Amino acid sequence: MKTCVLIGKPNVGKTLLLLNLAKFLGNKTIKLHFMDADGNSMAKVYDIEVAKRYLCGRQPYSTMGLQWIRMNAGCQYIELVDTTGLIGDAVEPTTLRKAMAQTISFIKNASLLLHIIDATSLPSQPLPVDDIDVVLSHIFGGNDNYVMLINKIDLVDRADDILGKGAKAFNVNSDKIICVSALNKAGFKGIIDYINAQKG
Amino acid sequence: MARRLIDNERVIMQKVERAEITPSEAIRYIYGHDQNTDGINSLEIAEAQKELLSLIGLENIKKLVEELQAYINIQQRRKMEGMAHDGMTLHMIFKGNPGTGKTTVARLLGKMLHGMGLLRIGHTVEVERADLVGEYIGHTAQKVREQVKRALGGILFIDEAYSLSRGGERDFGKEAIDTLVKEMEDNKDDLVAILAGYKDEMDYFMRMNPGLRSRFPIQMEFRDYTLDELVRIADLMFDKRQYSLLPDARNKLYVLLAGKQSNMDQRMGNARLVRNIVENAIRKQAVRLHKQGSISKEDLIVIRKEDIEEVDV
Repeated sequence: MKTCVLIGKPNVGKTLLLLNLAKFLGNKTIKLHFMDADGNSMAKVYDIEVAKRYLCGRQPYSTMGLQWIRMNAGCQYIELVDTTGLIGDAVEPTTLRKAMAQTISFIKNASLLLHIIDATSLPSQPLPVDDIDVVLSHIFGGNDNYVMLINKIDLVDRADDILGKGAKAFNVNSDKIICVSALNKAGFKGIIDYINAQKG
Repeated sequence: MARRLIDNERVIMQKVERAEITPSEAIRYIYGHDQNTDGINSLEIAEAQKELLSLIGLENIKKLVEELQAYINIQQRRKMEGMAHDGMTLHMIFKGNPGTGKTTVARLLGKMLHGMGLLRIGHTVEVERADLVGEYIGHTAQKVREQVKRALGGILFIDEAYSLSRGGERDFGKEAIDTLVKEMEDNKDDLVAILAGYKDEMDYFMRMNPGLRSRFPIQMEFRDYTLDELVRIADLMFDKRQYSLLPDARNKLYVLLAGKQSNMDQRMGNARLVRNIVENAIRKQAVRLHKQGSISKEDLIVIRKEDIEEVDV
């Protein structure tokens, strides 16, 4: 089973993407597995709409730990894993740092890394080298199992060349970027196609 | 993934939890490209680098270490690409007065060279004349070999190395030097030797032993700290121990150090003198508080003017 890992800064829409992708693939209820930074795990069945209300927050760090859903992506089963939002600097409190460490360590299990970027905060100036998106795209951007998802395109001007901007800002090949909206499911077909096109 | 990396990963995760490194750094250390080069531990290099940069003053040394690092890196890359590369003789001469940071820098270099895969262990063994020179014929060679053995995989730091050529023709110091040179040749990939001492004495020592010059190609000169640097060192020492200097206490320290400096006694011991003053002040503060009735949390932190006094080095 392919392990597809959603990573990115806090509040870029990882959890909403997880749940709406499940919905897009035809699920109404889901079994959500959860594991906290200490390794305690549980699973619970949710109606997707209820899960959205519970799990997707306007505040950053709504997700502290790993949560995943196994689902049929058309021609294969995948495991889609939502993670703790990462930032470049050390943060308070310890529990949050611990959750970030768990996510960083988990990256190595990914068969496909889906790096989510917020379209509304695409930089026009070069970002500092220790910015987490710069680090992630720099280190993983050249790998076959990396794809950048620029989310929240429902919030930006359609005329804007989001894809080009993202490719330039993070020096990632534009065929490795998909513009999506976790909210209105734009670009979801592209994600599923990308997952299914992956070897392994 | 190599086992070493997995062990390393656990350490890195703990550092993230303790906020000693940032998530960005952690990702770079675990997944970064330079990790793929066998034997190189970028976390260790970065730590040593960070520690070196946090030292007050020593600007010329910091620059030299950076150059050395660049040189080693390029030689290693050339080796990997199968090009001609230097054998890299990394033995060094450290010149400077006591308390100017020689031992500290030697220890950091050990760590750094270990991180770069050039030293197996990266520890530092500090020795002086008495550890190397014996009392009867044959004793000296045996003592030198013993110390070299302890230092294998790391740095052999010989303090006041010039004293080896003290004592004239019949002294065993000469034998110590000869044995050391031979041991250095025999263990050339597994040992870095550092000869340290006062500048003038070391210069004279090297002139007297011309054969050593080519064997110790790296020379670092440790300059005396300026008055401002010494006061900043004191501040840092207090800070690390969770104490804080009141402004008039800092003034007194300043005046005291200025007096010592104008005495032109270059052997006054620089940072070591500062450390003694700091430790003495902490004891004085304790005695002062002990006599006092009620003690507030702030009292425990504050170092007053009367706590600062002159000490012998």
